[in-house]
Amino acid sequence: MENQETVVTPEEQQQRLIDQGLYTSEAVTVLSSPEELYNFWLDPTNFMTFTEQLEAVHQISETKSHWVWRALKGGKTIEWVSEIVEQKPYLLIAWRSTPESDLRLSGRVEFVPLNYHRGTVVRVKMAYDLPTGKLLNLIEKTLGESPHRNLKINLIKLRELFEAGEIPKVEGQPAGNKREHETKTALH
Amino acid sequence: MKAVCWQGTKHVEVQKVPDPQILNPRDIIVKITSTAICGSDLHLFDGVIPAMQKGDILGHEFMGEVVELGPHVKNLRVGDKVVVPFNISCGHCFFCHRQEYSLCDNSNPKPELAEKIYGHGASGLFGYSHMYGGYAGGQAEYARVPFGDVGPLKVPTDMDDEKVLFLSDIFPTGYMAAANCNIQMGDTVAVWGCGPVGLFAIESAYLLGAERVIAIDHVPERLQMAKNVCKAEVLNYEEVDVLDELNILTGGRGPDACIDAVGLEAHGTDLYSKYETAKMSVKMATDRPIALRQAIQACRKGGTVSIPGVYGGFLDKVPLGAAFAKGLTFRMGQTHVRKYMEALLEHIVQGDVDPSFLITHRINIEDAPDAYKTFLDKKDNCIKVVIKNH
Ligand SMILES: [Zn+2]
Ligand SMILES: [Zn+2]
Repeated sequence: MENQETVVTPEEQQQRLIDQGLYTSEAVTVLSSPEELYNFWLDPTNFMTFTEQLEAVHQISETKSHWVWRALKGGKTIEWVSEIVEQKPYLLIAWRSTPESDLRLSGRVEFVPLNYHRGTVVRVKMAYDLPTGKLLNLIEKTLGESPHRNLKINLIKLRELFEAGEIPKVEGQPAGNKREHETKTALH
Repeated sequence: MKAVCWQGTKHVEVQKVPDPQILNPRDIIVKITSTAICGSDLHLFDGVIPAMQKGDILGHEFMGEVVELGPHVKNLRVGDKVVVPFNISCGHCFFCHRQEYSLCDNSNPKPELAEKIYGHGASGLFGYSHMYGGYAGGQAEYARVPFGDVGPLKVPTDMDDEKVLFLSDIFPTGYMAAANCNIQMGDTVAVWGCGPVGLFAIESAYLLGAERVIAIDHVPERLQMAKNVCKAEVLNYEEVDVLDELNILTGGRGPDACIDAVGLEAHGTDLYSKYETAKMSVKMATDRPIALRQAIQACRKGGTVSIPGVYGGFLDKVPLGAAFAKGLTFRMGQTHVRKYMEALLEHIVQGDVDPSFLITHRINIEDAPDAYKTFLDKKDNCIKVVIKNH
């Protein structure tokens, strides 16, 4: 299938988009159509509904958007401007950060429909880098998480949102021992 | 409200906690009228299940009255009487569409631990550790039920709680164990373990057309119940050689299907300890599949071994060679409760089965801590404890 050939190896990905840094990829199958998923992904404000770390996002232009992430632990923020660099309707979207951003990142998502109503595979690749090269340090200190875990958990939440119409949660439920809050979700 | 809260190994307390609230649009709130203590709650009580936190509300077998509905729940009304399955299912994922409700993809808010251990996570469960989502359980006065439009089964309001309460877990669990045996006319089914699940497996094997059911245990009251109430032939494994006896009883061929309703016998696994801190690590051993070994040896060639008993980790010395040589089929897994509830309710309404025969103890919620101890020690002929709220 044509869209499957758009998948690149980590090596190609890094060469194409970033010289050095951290590469991560993950996939999830969602019972929905490539059209719906693609359209959803194109609107950055939709990410507020399932991305836990996302503090704010707004559209600057047709292809540019401004993102603010807040660490779950510590509360530090990190900001970047993302620009869509490639777009094939219902097949793929690729983006990268602009030079004025706090960090360099690039990513692409591909939507691969399955036969027999088995849904659509959402395949994401992300690469991060910092001019200083102290990437992992920053990710851990600022985001407090591993990029791969973040990606995986957020893709699970995307599936939950699409299939179940809501994201399961236990924060706010009762517990004994005067526990004020339930532990946060999978990210903790 | 009052709730039974886990405090640590062999320690539960009844505490005052806040009433549950609607947190998601598909939630409902149930005012609990009856709730049971399950054999698998004893694994929590024993401290062998990891990822528990002090204050967790226990209980996954409950029923009651709907008192509040989330805005997206359209199939229920306030005042409906419902029985709630122990597993939480979204109703719309790949697995829910196949009625494999216990494998639901979207109901566990904390899927990571199970994914690490098992490769993939399963559905969220009420009151059964943070590996299964950390959902507050139903040994309380109220419970929040996520995806309330999928799991809860409406039952007639004039129906006695005691007749339908066990649709929440153990009756469907015994039934799925028997259904997994693919019972044919003339079949003999052997059941290891005459606890609640084993007893319902016996009842269900007959419902599904088994000609004979042979039950194996060593607790006299349980064997008696298997024989007198469920009409099984019984073997006390302390008195007879089970394999010899089964062979003779089946004319040398062996039972057509064998059900292991014993499971992990409250022993955890060393696999867990990797993910759990030192408090868990000491008592970890591999699961001891004694019943499973016998079931494999006993089963006739080409037969089915069905495993409703809960296993957690690695099995030691499972005779896979015997299973291969005899061409056995294995079926297992957490029960897809919702798949079986309607059919079983119909059996109850028709009078084919009255599940209340199992109940040996009826208590108030304040007495739950004592009941856990009685149940754990198998004192006072304790088989099933039901907590009644007034
Ligand atoms: Zn149970
Ligand atoms: Zn589901």
